[in-house]
Amino acid sequence: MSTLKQELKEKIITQLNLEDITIEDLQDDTPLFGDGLGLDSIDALELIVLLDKQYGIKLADPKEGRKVFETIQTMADYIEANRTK
Amino acid sequence: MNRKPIAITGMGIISAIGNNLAENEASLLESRHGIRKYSVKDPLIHQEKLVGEILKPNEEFYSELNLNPNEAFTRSALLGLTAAKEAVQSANLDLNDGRKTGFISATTVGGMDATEKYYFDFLKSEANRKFVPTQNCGIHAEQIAQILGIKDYVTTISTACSSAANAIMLGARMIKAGILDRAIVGGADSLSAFTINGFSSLMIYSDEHCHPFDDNRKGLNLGEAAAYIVLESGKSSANKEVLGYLAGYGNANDAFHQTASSDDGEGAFLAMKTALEIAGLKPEEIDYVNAHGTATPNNDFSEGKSLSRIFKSVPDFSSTKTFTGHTLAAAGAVEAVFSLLALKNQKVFANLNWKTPMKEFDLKPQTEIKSKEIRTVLSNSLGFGGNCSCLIFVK
Amino acid sequence: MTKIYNIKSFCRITNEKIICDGEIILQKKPDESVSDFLKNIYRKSETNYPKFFKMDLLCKAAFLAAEFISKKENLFETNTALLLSNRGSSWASDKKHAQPIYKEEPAASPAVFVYTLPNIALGEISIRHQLFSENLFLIFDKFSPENLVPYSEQLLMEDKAEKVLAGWVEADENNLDVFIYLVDNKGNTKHTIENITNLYKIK
Repeated sequence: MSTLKQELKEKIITQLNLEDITIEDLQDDTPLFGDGLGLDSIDALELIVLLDKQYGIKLADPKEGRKVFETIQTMADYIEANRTK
Repeated sequence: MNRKPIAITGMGIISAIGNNLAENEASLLESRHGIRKYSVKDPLIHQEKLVGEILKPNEEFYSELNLNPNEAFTRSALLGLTAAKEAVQSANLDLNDGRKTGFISATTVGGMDATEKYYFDFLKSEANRKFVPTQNCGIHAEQIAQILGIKDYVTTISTACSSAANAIMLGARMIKAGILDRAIVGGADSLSAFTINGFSSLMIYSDEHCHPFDDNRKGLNLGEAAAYIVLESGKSSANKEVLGYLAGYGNANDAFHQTASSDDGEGAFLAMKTALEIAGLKPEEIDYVNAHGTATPNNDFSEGKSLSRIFKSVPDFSSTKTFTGHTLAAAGAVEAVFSLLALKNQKVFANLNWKTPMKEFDLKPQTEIKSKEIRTVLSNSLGFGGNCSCLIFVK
Repeated sequence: MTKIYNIKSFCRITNEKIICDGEIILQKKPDESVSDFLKNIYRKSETNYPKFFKMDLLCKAAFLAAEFISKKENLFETNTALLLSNRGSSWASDKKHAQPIYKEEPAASPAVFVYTLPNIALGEISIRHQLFSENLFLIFDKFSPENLVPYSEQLLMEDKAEKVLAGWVEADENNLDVFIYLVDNKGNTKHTIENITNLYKIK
């Protein structure tokens, strides 16, 4: 689980062009949207693409994403439970 | 400030509901849409997408327009030339009479359709390399202007879904400023894997026939089209049949997000406000609103909000994208033509596929074609990048 | 009577440097990539706007030029119209979007697709400076002050805007050719085709 979380942090920083954020800045429970990291709707779509490409999970409804992408922890939990890759 | 409205003396259009003006008009009057599964077997387009397709292959356009088969014309250029020719003919323009004429065209796809066909071929063989220079946005306008014989002013506007509305606005301004006597203005966009895949990646491409302003809307269907209208100064249009007048126009930026519209529809609100001011009209004097209405969850909410803010009582409104699909850069011109047809026929065209009102507003579009007295039509075109434009047409 | 307008401030970014109102802000190192150069200009500007890093090269370049002009002549919440132009539209992002979809398994990236329109640059500047003004992006064969000047003046004369931020912006991984200037009532240089052409030619 901790390697998955580490992997997620690295991928998110590169995929979403978060230049001035380091892995250390990204806590497991930092809110990704809203007041924490401040990601936006396009970032959410990129995360959906990430879930599909890297872990074989297809999220058809962007609204479902809101719960899954709350924090690194919630993302990792969801991936563990649903990954096909 | 010159407030006189600009005369419109001609129009031309080709879309999924007709290959010319008469066919488009008939389809609207009969509430017959043109949205179907994409007929082309395209390896680049993932699923069978519902699109507003013009069922005519490029070869047929080449022969109808008497074009040299060895010259490179992309689909956007072919559609554009078809519509522009019809517009010029319908306005009875003599392009050699010494009047200053401009051609302002809009596109987002440009020559992408050809690039998608021939890209991998370019490095392998000489055969299709003539399509390399036709990739960019500007060339379709140059080609069309050259064939029609327009030299005084040619330019291309590329501001996403508001492009053609902005082209119309620019033409009107240049006439008011005395730089041109008349202008052929509008836009052209063909279908492409580029745009279909792009909108799908944003998860706003619906797998159903789009239903604008419906609570259960899932997104848009793309379409291809080209449309142009002919704007003329008072002097230039004297003694001519006038189809309508461009009385007002406005453009404003929503300043919110690269592709989403703000919750309070500020950009659209400001564009409509400006258009009304220029037209010297009060909101209650608008008889019909041809909405941008793409049927994405975001647009219809934002546009609905802006309509509620500008109008104490929102007039009859509909989105004709249920007929043609979202034709991107051409949309502003396609819908300008439809607005003029509404004035001609005194009809509000239907907003098809509508069932359930949006939770957030008390807004019901006109779901069936309706006869009423129409003196004024307001048309919205809201583009990515927050570029919001509004045009007002009067009899 | 025709009113005289002026160029209040300007910013030029080339493959060698960024120079604003005659002052060299930063030189580009010979082996530095365009991407790194723009990031370094951003850091030099001491702006805090993390969304900068999501932008494509075209938007980054336009954003930075507007940023430096805004330091001299505040743009925030003003009625400043935007009139930008170029030849290549958004071709660098177009290419980036197109390549992964012309494959067996098309894979489009929403964050890239969003930049496949040149007028997104207008949107980014508007969001940054909260401008709800008129905005237009034109495509020309080459930098055309003969088209930009009359249009800018028309906007100002009609009171559509109090100022106009106009110019030319081309940016891709091999090339930077940006010239953006602010047109206003007051200023040191008259807003003429000749003056703009000369300022653009500055090396």
